[in-house]
Amino acid sequence: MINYIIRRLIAVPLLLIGVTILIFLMLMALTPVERTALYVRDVPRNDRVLEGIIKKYGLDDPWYKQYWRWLFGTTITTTEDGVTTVENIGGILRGDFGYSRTASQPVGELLARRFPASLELALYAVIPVIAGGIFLGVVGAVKHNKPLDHIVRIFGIVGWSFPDFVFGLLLLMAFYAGTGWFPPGRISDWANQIVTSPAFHNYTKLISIDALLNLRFDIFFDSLRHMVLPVISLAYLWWALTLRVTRSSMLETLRQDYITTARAKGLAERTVINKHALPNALMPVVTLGGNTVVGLLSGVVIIETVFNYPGMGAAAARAASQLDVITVLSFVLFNGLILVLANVVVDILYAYIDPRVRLD
Amino acid sequence: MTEQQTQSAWQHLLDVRNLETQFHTEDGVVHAVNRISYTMNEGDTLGVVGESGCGKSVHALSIMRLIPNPPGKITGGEVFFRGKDLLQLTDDEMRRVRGAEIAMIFQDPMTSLNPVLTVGFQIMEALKLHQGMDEKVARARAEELLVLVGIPEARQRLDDYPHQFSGGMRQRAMIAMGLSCNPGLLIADEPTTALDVTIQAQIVDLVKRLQEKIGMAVIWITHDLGVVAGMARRVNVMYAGSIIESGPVKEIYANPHHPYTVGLLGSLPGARRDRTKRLYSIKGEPPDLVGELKGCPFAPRCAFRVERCAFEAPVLEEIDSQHIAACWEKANVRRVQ
Amino acid sequence: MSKKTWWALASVALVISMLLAACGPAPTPEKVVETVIVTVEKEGQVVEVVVTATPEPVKEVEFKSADPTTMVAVSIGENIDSLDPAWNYESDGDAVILNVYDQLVTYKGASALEFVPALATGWTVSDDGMTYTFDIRKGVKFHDGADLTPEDVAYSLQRGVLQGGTSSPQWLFTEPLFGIGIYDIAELVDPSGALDDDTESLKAADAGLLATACERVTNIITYDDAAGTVTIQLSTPWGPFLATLAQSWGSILDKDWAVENGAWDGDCATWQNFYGVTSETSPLGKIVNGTGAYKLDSWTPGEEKVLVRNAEWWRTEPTAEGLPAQPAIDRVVLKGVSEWGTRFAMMQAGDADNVSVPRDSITQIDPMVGEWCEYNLETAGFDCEVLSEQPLRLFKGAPDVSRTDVFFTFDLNVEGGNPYVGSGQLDGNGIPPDFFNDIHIRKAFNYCFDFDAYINDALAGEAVQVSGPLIPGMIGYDVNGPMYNFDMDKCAEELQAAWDGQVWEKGFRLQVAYNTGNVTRQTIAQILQNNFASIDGKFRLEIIALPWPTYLAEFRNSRLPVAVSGWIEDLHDPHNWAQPFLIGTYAGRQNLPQEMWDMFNALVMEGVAETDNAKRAELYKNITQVDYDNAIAIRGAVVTTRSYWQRWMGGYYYNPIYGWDSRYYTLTKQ
Repeated sequence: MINYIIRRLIAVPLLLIGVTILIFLMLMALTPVERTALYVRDVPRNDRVLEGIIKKYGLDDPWYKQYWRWLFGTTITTTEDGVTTVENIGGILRGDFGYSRTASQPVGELLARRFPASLELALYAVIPVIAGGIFLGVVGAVKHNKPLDHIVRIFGIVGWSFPDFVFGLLLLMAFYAGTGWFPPGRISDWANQIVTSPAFHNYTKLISIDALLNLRFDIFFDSLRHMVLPVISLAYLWWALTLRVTRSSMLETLRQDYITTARAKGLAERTVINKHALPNALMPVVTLGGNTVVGLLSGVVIIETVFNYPGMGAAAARAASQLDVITVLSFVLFNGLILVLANVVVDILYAYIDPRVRLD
Repeated sequence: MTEQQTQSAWQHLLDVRNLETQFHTEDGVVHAVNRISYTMNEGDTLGVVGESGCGKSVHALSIMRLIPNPPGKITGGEVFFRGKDLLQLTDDEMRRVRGAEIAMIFQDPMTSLNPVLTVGFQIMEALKLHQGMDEKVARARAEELLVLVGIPEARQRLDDYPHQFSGGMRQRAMIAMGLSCNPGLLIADEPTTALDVTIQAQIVDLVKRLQEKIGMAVIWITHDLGVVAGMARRVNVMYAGSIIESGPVKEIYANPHHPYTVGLLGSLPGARRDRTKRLYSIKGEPPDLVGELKGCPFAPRCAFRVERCAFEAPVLEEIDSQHIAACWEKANVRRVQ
Repeated sequence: MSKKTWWALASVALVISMLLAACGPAPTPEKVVETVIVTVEKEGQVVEVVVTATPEPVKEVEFKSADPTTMVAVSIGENIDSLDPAWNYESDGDAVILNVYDQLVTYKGASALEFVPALATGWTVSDDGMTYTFDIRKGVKFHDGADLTPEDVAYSLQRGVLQGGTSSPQWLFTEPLFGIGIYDIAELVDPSGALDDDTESLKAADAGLLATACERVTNIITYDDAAGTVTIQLSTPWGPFLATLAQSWGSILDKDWAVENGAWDGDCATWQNFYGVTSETSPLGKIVNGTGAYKLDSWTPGEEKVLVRNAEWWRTEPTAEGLPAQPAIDRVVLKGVSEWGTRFAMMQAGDADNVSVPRDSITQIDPMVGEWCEYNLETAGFDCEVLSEQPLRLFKGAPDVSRTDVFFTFDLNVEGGNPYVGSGQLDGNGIPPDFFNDIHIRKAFNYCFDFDAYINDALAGEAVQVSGPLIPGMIGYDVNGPMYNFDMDKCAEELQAAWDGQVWEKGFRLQVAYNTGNVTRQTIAQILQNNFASIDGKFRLEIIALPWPTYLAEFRNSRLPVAVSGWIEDLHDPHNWAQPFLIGTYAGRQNLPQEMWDMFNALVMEGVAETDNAKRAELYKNITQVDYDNAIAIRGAVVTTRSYWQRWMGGYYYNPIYGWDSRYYTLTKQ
């Protein structure tokens, strides 16, 4: 098992290099003029200045040189009044992803600001999505074709077919517009003033957790209050998917011979379901769970837009609609990273559940 | 139904009376087991033979009450085991019987063992459940069982997974699992069908030895008459959900009185057979079990068929005290050489 | 019936019920005036008279908010480039700058014509109109506590000019200060404009030239701390000068603070190092230190900006009667929420005091309007009427300061192929590059444009067609000026006359471009397309949507035969409209023939130099006529605005110069 984990982890940097090369090739499809946005914010209108920038950052050079520089940064030597300054700029490995025109700040800062928000939402959404989905899926499979199964299936289909923005807006109308219980946004104005003040320590950048760590329960509840509706909207949809996959996988598993063997041993039905069937049925769900988590972390644009939640999705969508290519590609890279890591985790989980996998 | 026989006064280990099992499908009602009856005593070995679909596996699952409902249902009869009618027990009571008093092993050990749990764990489950053993004791006993069934390096093997065993080893492990709680009856549903011929012989041998050692009864379900010859004392031949002939092994083989049995025996590739002749196989297909059958179910394929067979289903009648058969022409049935 | 059937029916029923719920119409509010028929005796006869019933007076309701100290205004979200007043050229930036910084003068309340003192307590203009002297107010403090001095004023203006940048508003200063046609300080060093925006090359320019350019600036913008004055010397009389100073780019910074934070130190030897500094590197782009009524508390780009009240604000005299002199609201939160449904929910929940409403959603929010205010062009104010107890107040009808025109490009740039001109020949399948040089074509387009359809369909009836390149409410705008009216017959006539009848014979095909997502511009294009097609199918207009950056690039390079685009004014002054449309930005893109351009140029320059308002008005009326005669574009309609507020808010007014969300200090909240 340890070997397996190590082998998987070794694959990570290789995969990441592959992802970066792919992204970089997409970047190279842009003209040198468009690529200046990696380094400067306003693409200058003066052609001479433009030429200067392209030369300075070597945006004309062969692709492998540029790839190297894109990863590690460029060294710029400037001599002014006899003083030579050498500076190292750019380089995604140094955390410099370029400047985001649409966000008015470096992309790295934008990511650092938005990712914790998405992470927090994902954490709270994952639990109902996965736990609820799995639980209901099992119920549906075990009570196959009985009324409970039908109810569960209807729930699943409605959840899957309801457009999320409609559902989100309906929730806002019902639970916010009239009553003000669950407002959009991430936290209230008064809480924001405290969170951004020096007295408040942002250990994790996850507001609800930090609030607890700072012993500010009022902020903790305020942050939860804001997350209720987006989490329900998110959960309702993804949970429907988890449910369906779990249900069909479980149905399939319950037909297997070893289930009959288990029953033949006289085991209680609950043991048969939980100990014998579930680990086998969970395989496709683990994959789905991995994808769900990745999806949540990459940002859920529609939910974020409807609830004005400042996560990755809204930022990426905004950049995309205004053709801010650098920002979009940086997001793609970041998401690629998450995906690679998530897949490693999924693989390890597989091996944990299914011992047959460990041998390769 | 009847509660006449008390636990202490039972005559037979297993007494099956008019067992009937049906399946409700979209196409209609399938009569999978059509009122069969037989008995077994302690230490007996019964072979149940027939083609696929004749109801032999279903009848075994019916005894264990493992028929999935829906779509299946045990619709009639009684199954007395050590004097208790299993069909009348509550679910909890039946669970206590399964694995402890009656054990069942299945055809394909690869699919019959849970791939994600260790073999040791799967053996220990029954021990912990039925005999209340704790981890250490159960582990020791499981190791003993593996040794008993002839698996080398038993202690390490407890922590291995099914896919790490060869086919034959797996089936041995299954057997170990089956007899872990010293059941009175072991039902083996085609346990060697999925194995090589050489391994087959080993397994049959193993079961015979264990049977003698532990003193349990065995029902051996198979479609292979050759295997039955090697280990059973009596045989039930089943066709289309009914027992059509039953008797001691040697009798049946020497003097079959049902055309189907004759056909089965004729299609055996025996050692003394004339190899120049083509291997005999019974013409036709088994009947569709949906709906009520009219007449003898074997009639369409029967070489000894007469007019009566199409209208009246034959009943089991004695040929001698141990041997019964259900055929109007049984007097005329002879074994094909 | 079997389970399957039951299942299927249930699902279908569920789906149908959802569809029905979604398609239900929203109620449209109408001002219901009840009429009653009453029999009355009149001159001995019994007559039936229709009497308008007096509606029951609506109860006076007090509207109270949950938090009267904080105001929340929600828009669709901004993208502020920079908060450096000398660099920012976007209205989103103005919303902050105009509240945290002050200028020398400001407008009198809602008036777009009269000025009142701000940081200048008084001013004089020389007889020749070229020298302005301002008395600087004493006792004013910046947010960081420093005192305002005349040196700060001079520095702010000098620094702005010397920072330059062709995408900044500084061209509005360089023309009056250095001469017409000079749009950037770099042109003082190299008049060809080659150094514009090129910091590196500028730094490498001749030191003597650089020094001279800088000295020129410091010589014409001077200060006298002892006398407490600042003097500005123009190179030409300039009608709009005070108006230019009253805008956000006339904001005054603290010199010490600016220098401390890395801006130009005032030394003419180093100014070139600070030239054309881009927004990301600009030291003053994200920090604010002004004298304004509000301080910038925080700015999260793309999400929100928070302003807090400046308790030390200097203003004691209101700018106009009835307005307060000091801010009442402690915190102003400007949020960006891109989803309309969410903004609406915030308004309903009372969490927002003002939201921006997309035009197609007004029927959704109108039922919540309890007080209806219509703009009165004469009083420049609103007449309000209470209709119900609903919580919102609507301000309607104030004219916007933007216009969307349809531009024709004269000599199209077809270098390297041009996909918008079809075959590129007058063969019925395209147009030649100089297609629009023929005035008959241009007039045909004007006659074929159905303004009524445009105004009623695309703009919900809330707009007015304008005459000429100016917009209503400014000097020189003639409400009775010449306009093209929709006339299909005249359109056909012009087509027949075009290109010696070739067009009528062969037809044409070209593409009309607009930027993706802009429904109004798309509608304009469709109207033209339909009308031409209904004259004859051989007059083919194809509509193409381009992403904004592409659209802008193609337009700038004079590659689009017909482009629909818009302009928001910088100053409410005729020059600000005449210049870009006749000789500047748009004229350039349209590639006007030299002769035509020269003619316009002479007229525009004359107009801007005239300081006598009456004479100026005449000059611009003439310009309007010339514009009409030449039909170089289709002059569009000016939209009237709607603004929705909670009724517990008070104290605002509409000044077209500053727009809606500008002066927060006059607002009150209960």
